[in-house]
Amino acid sequence: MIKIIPILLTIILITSIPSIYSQSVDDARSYLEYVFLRLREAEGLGANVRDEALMLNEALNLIRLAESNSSAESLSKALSIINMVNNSIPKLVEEGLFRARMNQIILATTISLTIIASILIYFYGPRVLWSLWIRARGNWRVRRT
Amino acid sequence: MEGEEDLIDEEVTAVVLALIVVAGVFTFSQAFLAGRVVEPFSELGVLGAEMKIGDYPREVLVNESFKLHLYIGNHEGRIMYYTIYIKLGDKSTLVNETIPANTSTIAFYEAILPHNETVIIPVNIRINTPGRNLRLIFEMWIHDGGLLKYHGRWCQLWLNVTAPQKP
Repeated sequence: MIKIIPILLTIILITSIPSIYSQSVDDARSYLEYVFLRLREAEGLGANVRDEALMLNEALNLIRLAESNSSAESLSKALSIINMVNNSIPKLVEEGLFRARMNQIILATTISLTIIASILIYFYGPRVLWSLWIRARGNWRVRRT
Repeated sequence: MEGEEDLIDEEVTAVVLALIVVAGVFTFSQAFLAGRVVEPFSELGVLGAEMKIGDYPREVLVNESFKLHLYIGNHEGRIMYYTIYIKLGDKSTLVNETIPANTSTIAFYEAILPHNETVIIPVNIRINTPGRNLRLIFEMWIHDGGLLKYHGRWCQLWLNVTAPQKP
């Protein structure tokens, strides 16, 4: 009876490995989806997430590989990539917010400068135009034809 | 003479004003539309074994593996997570932009793409039931807010699948 116990334990362990593995693949997929949603939120706040999106795609391919050939190495690589992306999100958001603020400042400056230039051109444009015209052609001689 | 000078000044002012209006509208529109996607869309295409449009198989054997390529493009203005389902239907299978095909899925492929990015995925397919005028239906689904939704993009490939002849 005592001899049977280790054998039973071994059998239980061996049969439970695939389910534990498939559970971890499912967990990796859930984690990937969670990070994808966070990344999309970050993008909505103005972050440039291009490189991170490509990294998530690589992680997705590794998860698919892990699903097809039960490769624990692929799964662990995928999880490490997802972790890296997840950890980079706060910095991306910060950069995105800064970029959005800069864009607003540039937009406001462009609009203000356009309005100021329009007013200046409207009031001084004709005078400048005619003075340039006179300077260019003021010394022309008029010949009777 | 004085009146004539005034007239010329008014004409010049009008021309300057018109130029200002045109330049102003152009500047504002560029400033507001910069980086915005006016018409978001996604692309789904099926390419043949040589990644061309046109070298598709028409006749395959049961359980014979054949190669295709999926072309996916993201122009939605945001990062997208796509799942492409490959389903097997026939001429009576209903599929359109709002209704996905209600038939068995034989494979699925996934991709996460940033805006303005495309990907070509090699696909190996094997069909285990014979039939004439079968349709391989490729449907684009998206992961949106934690849900998987049909995105309304689909394409198809007509096939005859024949059983290998016994010697």
